[in-house]
Amino acid sequence: MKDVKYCFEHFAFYDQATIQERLEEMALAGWMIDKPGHMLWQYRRMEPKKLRFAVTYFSDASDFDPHPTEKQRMMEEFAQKDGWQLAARWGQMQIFYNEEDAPTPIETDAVVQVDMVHRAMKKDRLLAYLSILAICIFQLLFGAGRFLLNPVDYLSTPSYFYQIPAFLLIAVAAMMELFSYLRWYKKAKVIAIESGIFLEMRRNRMASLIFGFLGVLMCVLAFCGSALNSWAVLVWLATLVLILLGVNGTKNRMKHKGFSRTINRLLSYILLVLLVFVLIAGTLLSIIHFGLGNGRTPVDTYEYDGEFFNIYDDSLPLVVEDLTDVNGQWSKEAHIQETLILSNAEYFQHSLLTESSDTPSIEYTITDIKLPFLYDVCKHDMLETYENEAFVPVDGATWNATEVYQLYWHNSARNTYLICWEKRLVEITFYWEPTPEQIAVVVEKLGD
Amino acid sequence: MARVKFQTLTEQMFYVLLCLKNECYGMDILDKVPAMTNRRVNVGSGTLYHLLEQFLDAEMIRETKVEGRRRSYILTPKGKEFLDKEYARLCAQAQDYCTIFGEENTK
Repeated sequence: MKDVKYCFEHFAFYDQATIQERLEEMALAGWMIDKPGHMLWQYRRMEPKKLRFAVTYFSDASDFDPHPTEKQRMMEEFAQKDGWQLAARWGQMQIFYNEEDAPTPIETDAVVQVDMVHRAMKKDRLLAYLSILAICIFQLLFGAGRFLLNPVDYLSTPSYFYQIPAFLLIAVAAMMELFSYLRWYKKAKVIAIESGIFLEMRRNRMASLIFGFLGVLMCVLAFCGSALNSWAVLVWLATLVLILLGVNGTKNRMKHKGFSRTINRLLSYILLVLLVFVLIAGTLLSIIHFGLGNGRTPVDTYEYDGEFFNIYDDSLPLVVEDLTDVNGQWSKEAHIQETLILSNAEYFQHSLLTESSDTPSIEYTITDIKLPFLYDVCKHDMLETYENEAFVPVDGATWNATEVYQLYWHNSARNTYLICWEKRLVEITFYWEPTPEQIAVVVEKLGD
Repeated sequence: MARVKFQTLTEQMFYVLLCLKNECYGMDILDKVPAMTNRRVNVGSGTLYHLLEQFLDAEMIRETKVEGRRRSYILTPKGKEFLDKEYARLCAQAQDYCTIFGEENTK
């Protein structure tokens, strides 16, 4: 029989009444609170008992304290006098229990009680919610800037695109926590002053937890969507877990070793920053070095001019061999990015550097637009791709398209075309001038 | 907040300050208040701790002795001023009651 039990608890930090009731229920079922936490609360087995619980806050305490402060102990001694025994401490929260049926409550003055909760909240919780909110707003603004610069890339890259719902959801969760607390505080303060009654919070945090969870899930999706290789996803997740365990474990070790609050806090923050930089940079470099990031592995390598180059043999919807009857060696690469609203695939078939310069190459980008209102945004973005060159409308009939543009540098036409089909935009560059027959093949292979 | 920093005192604030007319250990206030009020008023241990901290911050009381975690306190002139103000407010309230209902209804 297990003597320790972990429960997922979704209490608001300041919802004393709900926490007390839950702990009373657990005690009656034979479980005493041992270690409260952000989500998982640890209980230890005991004789089932009817106990009264009281949750109180000590704003001067910190989760970085090696021991409770003298003042905290003084308060605990006061509580003991009325029969309240300490059950657990968690940062600023202290939980007491009492075996008497109707003991003198720990808090008897609503004004002082509201003030106590507010001091504790102000100390770190409110700051934490505001910081989360600020980070989300910064990320969303940063994303908006990136979107304006390159909408097609932004909307088709999972790591960018899923950041929008991810940070929006996390921001909503933080705002729900923040506003519901501030609304309670405003009301509770007035009621305490005017009527001397403490307004219980009794808040179900499920909604904000769901928003927060979905936000984090979107972040994971953003990572997974970009790293096509499952190893890369695992490496990223392991990195994040390592950072969390590393910082938390070091903080707890320092607490046990008796490091002061200031030193523990300072070293923990330094470690966090170092781990974030070192581990994330290390992970990123490893992924690039071992080729885990793009999910493609080269089939071979070749040497040219003292340097080694990879040869890829990705599957392409259109290859040079479909258009001309030539022999040669190529590297075929496909870079596909897709989100719920847009897919953008870049294909390259480049002749190896060891081949003669007559061996033709081809490259093209296929953008599939899943939401019609994004069509013009994407078209405009693709028309503006080149800084010193311009796309000029040409006859679209041979391409069987609504619109076709050809790239011009001053008055000189390039063999680069932007073909606009109903839901698909294709930019294609031939390394030669295409014939109408070749165009017909392109339409057949790439048309929507 | 504490009643816009003690502009008016709650009953608990009032009695805690009253107990500190003479030097007194913090913990003893937990017994003194019910005794003083014939058990009508009880001060919770958490409330007492927070009140002592707030009164110290506002210089309404001062520490006289620190023996480990056992500390004793005494009312300062500033604290007495607050008590007097509260007493005057309560008297004015009682007076208003008498004016409305007359002396015979005060018992």
